Amino acid sequence: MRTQRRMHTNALLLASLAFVASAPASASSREGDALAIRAEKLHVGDGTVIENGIVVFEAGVITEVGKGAPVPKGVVLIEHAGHLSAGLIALREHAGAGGESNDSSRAVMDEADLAFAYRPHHSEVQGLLEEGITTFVLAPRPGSLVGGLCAVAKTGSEVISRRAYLSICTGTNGLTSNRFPTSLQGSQAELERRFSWPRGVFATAVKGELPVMLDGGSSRTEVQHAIGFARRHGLKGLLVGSTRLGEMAAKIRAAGLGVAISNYAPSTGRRVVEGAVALSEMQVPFGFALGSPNNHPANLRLTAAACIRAGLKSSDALRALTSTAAQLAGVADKVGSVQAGLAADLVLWSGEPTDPGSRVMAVYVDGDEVFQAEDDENGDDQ
Amino acid sequence: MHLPETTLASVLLVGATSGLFAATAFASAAPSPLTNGDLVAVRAHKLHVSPGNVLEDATLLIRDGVIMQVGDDLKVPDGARVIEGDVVCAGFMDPWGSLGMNGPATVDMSTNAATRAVDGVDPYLHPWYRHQALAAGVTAVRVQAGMVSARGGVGAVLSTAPAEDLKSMILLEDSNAAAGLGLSSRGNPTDVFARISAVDKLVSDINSGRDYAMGLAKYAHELEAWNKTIAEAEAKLEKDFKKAQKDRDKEIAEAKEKGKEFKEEKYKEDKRPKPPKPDAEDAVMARVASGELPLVVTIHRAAEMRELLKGTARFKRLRLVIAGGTEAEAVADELAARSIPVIVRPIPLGANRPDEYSGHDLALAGRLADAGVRVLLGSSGGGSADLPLLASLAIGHGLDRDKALAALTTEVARTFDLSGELGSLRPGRRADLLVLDGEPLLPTTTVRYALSAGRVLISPDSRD
Repeated sequence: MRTQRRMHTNALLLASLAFVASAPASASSREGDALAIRAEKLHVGDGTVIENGIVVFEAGVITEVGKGAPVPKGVVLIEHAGHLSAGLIALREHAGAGGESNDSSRAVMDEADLAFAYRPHHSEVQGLLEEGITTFVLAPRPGSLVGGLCAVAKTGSEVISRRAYLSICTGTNGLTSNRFPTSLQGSQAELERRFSWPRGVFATAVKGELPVMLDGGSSRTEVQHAIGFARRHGLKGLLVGSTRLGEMAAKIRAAGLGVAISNYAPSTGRRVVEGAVALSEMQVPFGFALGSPNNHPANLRLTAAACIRAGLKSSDALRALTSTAAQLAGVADKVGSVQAGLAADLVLWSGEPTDPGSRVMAVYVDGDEVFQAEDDENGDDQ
Repeated sequence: MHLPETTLASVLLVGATSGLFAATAFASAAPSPLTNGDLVAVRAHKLHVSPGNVLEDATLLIRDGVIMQVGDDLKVPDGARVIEGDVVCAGFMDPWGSLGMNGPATVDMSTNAATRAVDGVDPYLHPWYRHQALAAGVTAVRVQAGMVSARGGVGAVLSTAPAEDLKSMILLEDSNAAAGLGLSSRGNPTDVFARISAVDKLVSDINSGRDYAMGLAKYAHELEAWNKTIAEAEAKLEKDFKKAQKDRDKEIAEAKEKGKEFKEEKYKEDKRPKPPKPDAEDAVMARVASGELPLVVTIHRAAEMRELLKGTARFKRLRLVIAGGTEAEAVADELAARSIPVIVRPIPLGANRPDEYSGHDLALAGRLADAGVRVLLGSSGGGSADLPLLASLAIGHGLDRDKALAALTTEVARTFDLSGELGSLRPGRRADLLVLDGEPLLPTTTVRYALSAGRVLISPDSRD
């Protein structure tokens, strides 16, 4: 790995030289960051893997992908002895938002805009990069019936969607004892009222133009209620917050909803991972929630690996971590696959991306190298 | 059975003396069902004899639960059951687990140095837990009563295989002594000033153990000398008896003549030496001080580890093992120099973590190994079945793959004096092994067969 890193550094140096040389020609190039990377295995994101695939990107956007993709003159080709995939996407995340992501004293915050809580340079956000997470859905923490509008943020960079979801808690997660409503019945009555005579964001959600992030609570009854609620009001979007979603895969599929799989915590049973297998068999679209800083960013890939151990196909797990998550968050036209026209959000891995034993060697966001692994003492020094 | 007879006898003794549950439930149990005389041949494309020592297209023969032969040119004997697979390796061992223990015993805060883990073994554990561990490839677990207590007592190594009798569950009844320093209690960090004195208290306990051992040795020496003196005196008395009798009769007659009272000469015997006051805790710490038992210290902060290393440097025979070691990188050089292993817990922890884990980093195992420190990987009691998955996380954060495998097999066996019985696939070892459909420690690899003492406990039909 040390060799590769050295090469890396040289390559970057050369790349900048190349830029100097070609600067007048590529005036439109934002930072002149044209680069090409050839990886032993390039995971496109739709399940296909290109052996010795090349990705070319310029000005933060992928321009070419393929085995024999032409590398423009003057653009340096980095050889990566490992795998390459699109950056991972965490659905439902709280990194860097601190106390700005919820206000439990208010039950309904329909116009709260989570984009304002985003702090791209916060250490918690930087921590996501080390685990290859380049995009995440910044969502409110549970505590209100309606928590506000979730944003989709590029890790350490900009917000790419301000209205990804309207966050709703239909279960006990939205209750507190010191403000209305204090009971599940009260919360249900309040939400029914908001969605039956909808105004503002509620009207947009009912029209199907604004997806919802539905936290139904953890129990089976609560989840069933959440699914019923979505069907009754014609809501589209994502179910989150329960380990039991997989048990209701058929109902979720019938309701046309997606799922953000909760974190797998070692020793907490196998509902989550077996649920992922069930969802996959029922072809319910799903991605993975993270919920850092309360959960470690490595939990995203660990959860995926635990699902693989329980029987989920490795390629399906990677899709759930990248392209499907992008589709669910409504940003598949920007991120989530290694495709021409999408952002150059790339992760170089030492091995299979869904193996927790693979190291994150380098991370690119919008074509910029934003993370590089420390020197590997055990790497061969050929 | 592979264990030496003395161990077996003492295990039986443990069973018979450990209170209510033992005598009635197990004393009358039949001899170990593991010794069934079965012959099993395991064939693999790749056979990890030990990490880094791999045989291609090899065969391994098991008789009576023990590995007889390993090689790439072995003939499979007639009548042997043949198991075939891609990759074979030794069963994983969790050096910091709780599987097989009674739950409350593991979190007991009132344990002391003499509390024995074997007294907290739960023979009625739901078989599902054992199945989960075996299906993940974990065949043995080192357990401890009072895992977060200041003194955890004497730990044990248990098999994860279901067993009808206690003695076949227990692989080693006294694997170590244990202590916990600076650990949060019910979510509250310990007092900052109390932490260092807790380290000093442990050092002083080790010292008491050494004094106790010396006291015992001194007593044995004095007793021997006393016995010798007495024997000599007795011999002398015996030899001179007739002369002494005559002398006495003469003295009595003389006294009578002179009208005096005869004074009997009293025999003065040396005082028998007194043994030191028996102390169960000191007795355990004596075994620690003499290096007979390794001492596992759960400790995280650099300041406390420095104090511990400084305080224990004079005990040349002491075998320290650090569990946790969150900030161990700061003392890595000394740990490497003194060959002190660290049991790392490679679990991803979020922001709400105990205070002593505030510097927790998944890269710790890799960094310590790079610094030459012996690394073991443990679940810390959370769930041994998840340990292989967590080990892969340690690999993904810098730990060499072979070292990760060693951290779950050979290093564990070496640390707890079980190298002759477990951890590798050499002849004479207990046949605790895994037949995998891929390389160990990959999420895509499944355990097709898990064998414990030669018994097939997981097979493709037994998987759920």
